[in-house]
Amino acid sequence: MKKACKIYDEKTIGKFVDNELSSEKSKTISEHIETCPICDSITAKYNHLSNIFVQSTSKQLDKIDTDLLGQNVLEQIKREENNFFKKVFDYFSPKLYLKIASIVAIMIISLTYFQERLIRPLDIIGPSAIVNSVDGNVSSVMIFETKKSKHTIIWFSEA
Amino acid sequence: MASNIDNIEENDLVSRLKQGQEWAFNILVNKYQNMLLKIAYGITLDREESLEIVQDVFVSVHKNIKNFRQDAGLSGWLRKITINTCLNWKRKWERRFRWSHQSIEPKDENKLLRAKKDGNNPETLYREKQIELLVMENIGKLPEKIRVVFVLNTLEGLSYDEIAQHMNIKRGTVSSRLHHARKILLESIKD
Repeated sequence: MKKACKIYDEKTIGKFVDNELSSEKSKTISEHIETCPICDSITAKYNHLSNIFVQSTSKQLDKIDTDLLGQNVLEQIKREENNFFKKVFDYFSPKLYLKIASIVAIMIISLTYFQERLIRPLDIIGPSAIVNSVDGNVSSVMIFETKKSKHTIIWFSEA
Repeated sequence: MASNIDNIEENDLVSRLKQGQEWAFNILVNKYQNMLLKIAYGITLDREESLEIVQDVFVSVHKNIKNFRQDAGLSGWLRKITINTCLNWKRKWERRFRWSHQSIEPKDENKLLRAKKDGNNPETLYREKQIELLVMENIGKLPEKIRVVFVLNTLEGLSYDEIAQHMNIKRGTVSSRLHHARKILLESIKD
């Protein structure tokens, strides 16, 4: 079973290790650690973990060849600057793109909204045919008048 | 006084960078590459990947230096870009997975923390190596948010307040994440 100190918890010891406590509290804990094997062990373990991470990272970083890093970065920048599509993209700044997108969106919405009023009446400029008189035997006449286009449709059949 | 001089130098460097002076950019790379590599490696645990990330960070800095307002200082700005680049790195999971399987050592090495520090004894060195491998492997398995806090605290030596500011979280959250990280790591190498 894991033993725990009755005075300080692991989180507080962590703050102590990280030097995140007031100098007064740090001093108190430092004195406590000298007499408390549990807190002493936790402190040692936390420091050990940090040391492992720092040293292992340092060893790995030593293997990285950074001599050409600056040169590679500048070459990458120049490549990107010479890219035609990049130039075009940069020319049209994101703000301009936003404006164009907004205008297109407004146009689409407007066209959709006014479609009924503007486009359809244009399709029907006038009546397709005007019948002034009907000769012969007419058995029946039907007249349809639509509200919008005022079309009159005459249907008849000869006997 | 020293910090003032550093500040003036930094202001001068930033102003030259904004003018597009190439040698200023070389100075920037030389001055900050190790710091950024350390952060990138701490988060990705992959040398090749961290080098690519740092290269991308400097390219991004070159593009955006004109928008830099110097509120958080140059190092703070670079650190932030590096962390974000690391977290957004598309191939990170794939490579991290590969990295975590590189170990050819058995994983049932318990009681590793009991290794006695008795000089250059081969057995002790072997055990120490096992602990290191286990710790690094388990750091790679830490959730991203926790790992970043652990990296900034352990490798960069940032205070809780500085980490909180960087990560846009509360100081208490920093403390909790660090505690969580240590708990997980110790758990992974205990008896």
